[in-house]
Amino acid sequence: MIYFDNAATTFPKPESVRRAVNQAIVNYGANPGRSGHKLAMKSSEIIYRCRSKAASFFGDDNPADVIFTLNCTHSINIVLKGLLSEGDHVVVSDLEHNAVMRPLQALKNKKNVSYTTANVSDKSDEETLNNFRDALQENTKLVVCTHVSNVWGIKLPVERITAMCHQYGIYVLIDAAQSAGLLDINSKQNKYDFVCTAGHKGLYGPMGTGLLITPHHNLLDTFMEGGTGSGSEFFEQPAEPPDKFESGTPNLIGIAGLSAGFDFLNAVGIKQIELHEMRLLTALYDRLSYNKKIILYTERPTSGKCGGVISFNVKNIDSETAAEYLNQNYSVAVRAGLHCSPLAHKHFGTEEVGAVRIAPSYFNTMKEIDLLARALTQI
Amino acid sequence: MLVLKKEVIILESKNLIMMNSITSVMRAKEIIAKKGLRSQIVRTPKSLAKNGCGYSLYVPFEISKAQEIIRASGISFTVPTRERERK
Repeated sequence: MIYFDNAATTFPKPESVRRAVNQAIVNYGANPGRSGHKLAMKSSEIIYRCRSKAASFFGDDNPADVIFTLNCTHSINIVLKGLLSEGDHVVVSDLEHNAVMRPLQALKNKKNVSYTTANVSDKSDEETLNNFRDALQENTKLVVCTHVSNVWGIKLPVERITAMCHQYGIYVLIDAAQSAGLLDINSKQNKYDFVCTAGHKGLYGPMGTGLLITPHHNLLDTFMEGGTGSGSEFFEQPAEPPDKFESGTPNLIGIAGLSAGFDFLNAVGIKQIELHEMRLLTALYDRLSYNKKIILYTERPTSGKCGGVISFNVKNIDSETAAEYLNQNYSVAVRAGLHCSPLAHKHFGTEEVGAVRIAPSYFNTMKEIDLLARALTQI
Repeated sequence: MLVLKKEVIILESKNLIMMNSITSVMRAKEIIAKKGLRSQIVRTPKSLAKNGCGYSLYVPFEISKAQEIIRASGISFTVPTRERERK
């Protein structure tokens, strides 16, 4: 099989990640952060090492600013539901995933939280920035902004949006599900308030891992409460991070794999990974541009302007049918439909038909791109 | 090394720096190690644990220096009080 569905989750994982997961199951089976015996301390050490690597990877000097979650959606929910109160207003980009829109809609229904959508300009970052500024209201508490669209690969000027919002005292949540591991995200330097990401995509960790990186733990109410192995005498949830947000037994096996994922990224270098993916995507884009049956929606991918995704349609063929054609005839795995992002599809008018998404990883090759491009000439 | 005889706990508790979360205690251990101070992570003895379960750093030498470094790094901790030691 040729796997191009890496925006959903990367596959295969690096050999080192598989090894780390196996080692965690075989050798480190104790519950971390609870007991004091040697095995429990070893498990705690694995978790702490990953936390430290994550902090350093995202330019944060405090490992306690890193909260382990189940996935990016979980991280986003912790922020939205922990920060927003009755009557607050939120600005979101028009490329957001349902991981943002659904909790926001629930907050609208239950807590009278309102939101405005800011259009991401296809022309300039300046225009995008102005659109965000125009959407702000007196009661705007938070701006939520995807770093890279999971459908179109468009990169948003999150550094500039954050700087602008901070002038008005507004917090910013960056959804880095598609950009972490591909683009440099320096949380401290850019003063990002909340960085949410998945561990199982560009960070090459196992599924069931996610991260929230924030120095503002004191602004957030708890999302869930329970045992943390600390302060057990009290029914009150500990106020100290990360325990405040990490109740229950953590995903040691997943986190051990994620830790190896960070090592992999540091060894290869994210710039190298980005260059590799860009080479594949530009080659594919150029081939598709010559194919009269293909409808492309975005500009030719350029380093620094987009992430590792291209979506397209085949004229007069439903996106799911096109994906099934690739699956059945060439064993090529792609994602079709709306990609859990109806808002992003509305941006290019594809909300009725969806699109076919190609998302390579570091492990895809030019030969595979060539096969895909040839397959699409035969459709 | 912390020995779990009651009288020895009283004797050695002055070498404990108590924290709630395992993350804090691991970070503190890492920070003082960079300054050349040795320490060991232990579960806080129940008789000393003001806030229920937690972890402590057992610092056999230069405990005051260790406290100073940890305080400067912004990690909150407590130290055993005489009253609690007597319990």
